[in-house]
Amino acid sequence: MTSRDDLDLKEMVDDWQAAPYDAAAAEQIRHYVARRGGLFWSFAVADFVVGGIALPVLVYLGLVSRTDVERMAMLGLASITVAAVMFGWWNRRGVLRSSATTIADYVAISAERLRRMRMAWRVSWLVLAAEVVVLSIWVWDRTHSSTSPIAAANQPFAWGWLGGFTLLAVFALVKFGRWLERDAERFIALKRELERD
Amino acid sequence: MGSETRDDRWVRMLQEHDRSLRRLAASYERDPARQEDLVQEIWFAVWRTLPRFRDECSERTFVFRIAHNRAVSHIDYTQRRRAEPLDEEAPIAAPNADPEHALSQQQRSARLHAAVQELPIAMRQVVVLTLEGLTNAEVADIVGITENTVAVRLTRARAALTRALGARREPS
Repeated sequence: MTSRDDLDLKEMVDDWQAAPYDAAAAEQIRHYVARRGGLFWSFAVADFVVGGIALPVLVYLGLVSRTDVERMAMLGLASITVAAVMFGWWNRRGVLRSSATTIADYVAISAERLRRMRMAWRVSWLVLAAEVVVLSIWVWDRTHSSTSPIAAANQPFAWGWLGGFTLLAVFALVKFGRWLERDAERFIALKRELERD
Repeated sequence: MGSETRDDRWVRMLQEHDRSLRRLAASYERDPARQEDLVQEIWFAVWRTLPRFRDECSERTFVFRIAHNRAVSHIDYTQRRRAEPLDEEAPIAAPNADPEHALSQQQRSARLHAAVQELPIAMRQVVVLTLEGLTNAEVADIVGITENTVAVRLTRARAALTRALGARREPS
């Protein structure tokens, strides 16, 4: 210590540790963790279930399709789904298990996580664009198909559905992009403060 | 410890360190409800990370590393900048066998906690771990800085706390 006026550390430790403690709260933590543990695994399983359902359905629709364009569209969507899922796994590598590292390492991993999320955001725009192109070709083909065209009365619904899906996805991506920017600003400010001696 | 299951070990850690983690959480979050959320998140992270813990450090260091990382994630920078004034009327526990002494210590404790909340994060990390009884080497290991930097930050933190608590101890 540089000053004799500074508080005695032992006294400070005693004061600090004298804070009131409710032992019953520990029991609540046990229930919370048991619940969250179950939820955590159900999310992991849900990821596989959704992928496991979407992919066979798209492949099946591709195989039983009535036209070549429809077949290519369904198989195209299946390929996009596979590519998106694989990118998601690849993009998450090495940034999920970071809880027990030092704070300095954790900050470095958080920076990497932020960079990966930005990459995921950019790739999501590409995935959406690819999906919209494929779906547009499919709807256009169905409206002009000679074998099983969509009834004229249903055509606005088909295009409206595609427009609605696109708008919703664009809205979600714009919101996600804004959230990412705010998160990045917050992180940079925090990193600056953590690195200050 | 060989036959101890993951859940048994986690429960034991909870019993041993929950008190410390609650003090730590209180130094990062003023709102009691969000404080509780933070403590829950920390314990959930400990539970999740436990299977990968190979005793390469003490359990206490392991728990505090996770706690600090979660706390850092939790910090809402913008909210922190709009920090409300210190609460001079912080809750006080029921007095024990020496009511006067206990009351006085609880008041000092509440003021110390409030003053620690005001420290910049880098200083706060070091001072909270020190007040929890960790050595400079352990603090350096958890935060990922040198022992020298720990000592420098601790000196500055103690000076800042002395100023803050000294000022508050002045009769109005």
